[in-house]
Amino acid sequence: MLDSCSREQELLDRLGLGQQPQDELALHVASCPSCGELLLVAGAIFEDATTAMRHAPIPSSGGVWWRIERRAREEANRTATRTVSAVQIGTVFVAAAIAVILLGGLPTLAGWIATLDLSLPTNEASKFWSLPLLLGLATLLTLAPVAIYFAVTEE
Amino acid sequence: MRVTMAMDETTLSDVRSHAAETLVVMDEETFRAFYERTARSVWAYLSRITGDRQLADDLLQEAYYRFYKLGDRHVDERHRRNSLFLIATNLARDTMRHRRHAYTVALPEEDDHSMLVVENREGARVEGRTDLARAMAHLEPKQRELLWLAYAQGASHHEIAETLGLKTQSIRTLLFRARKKLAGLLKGEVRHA
Repeated sequence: MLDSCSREQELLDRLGLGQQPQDELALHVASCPSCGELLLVAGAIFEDATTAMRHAPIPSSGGVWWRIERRAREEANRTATRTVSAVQIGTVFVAAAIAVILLGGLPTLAGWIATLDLSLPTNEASKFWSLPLLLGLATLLTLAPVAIYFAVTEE
Repeated sequence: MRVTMAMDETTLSDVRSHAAETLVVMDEETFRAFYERTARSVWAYLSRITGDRQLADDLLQEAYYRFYKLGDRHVDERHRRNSLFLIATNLARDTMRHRRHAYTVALPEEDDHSMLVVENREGARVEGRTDLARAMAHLEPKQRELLWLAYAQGASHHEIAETLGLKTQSIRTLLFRARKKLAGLLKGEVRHA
């Protein structure tokens, strides 16, 4: 059960002004367990807050602004660099894919696509694979995760 | 001076969706003025919910950086402030979770040489704050956040719910329990582990 008193806000307002309850309110607080508890807790916290704020070792606003601006700029630069790297890597992959197609020949690619039909027997499908295509794909599959990792990872 | 987090019916999620449409970078003058108004209260919040002043220093700068990255999409000062505290809360939670950070009892600010005079003159007050720090260490992180936002920041239940990712209706109960527990710890009714 929450035993609160209707005069708690009045007491808090008083404490908020940095004053202790006086006169009739002080008498009430002395006889009201809820207000007495509030005075103990809120009074202690408010006094502690006042002291903490007075002695808070905060850096100057100018210094904080300068650091924030610099950090934001550096972060923006890193983001831009990552984007450019991602685009460059994408371009390399496309170029590599084109090279593989040209080396392996379009018929090979068509044959490879045909192997995607799982209904074909394995030995039937394997004849469509050529060495350049296999090498190209293996290279792409090996380098892609590494390249993506370096492109998107922050320093 | 008390920092008041006033509220209206517009929620942070409304602000987020609005902001997604128009991202406007906060200019230097606006940022610096806002920082001057809020940095001390954010640092105090971070310091007390993590129990680590050094960590609060680091998280403060990170919180403002993330706030800056959001863009100036807040409709008014209250939304800016709420958004900042939301970021600070999430940062503190993430850091504590990842580092498996243990809450430590924060020493009073007067522990440096320049404040020894204050400590000597106001010994009772300093002792009181140390007791509070010890008691806060025995609360759950969410309870520390709740109590600080409610009593140090003067945040409404709606704002607390927004900042902590809770339902507004549950704040009253959670706050009551947290208050009860902290009162017990301060009175020595609940034994410190």
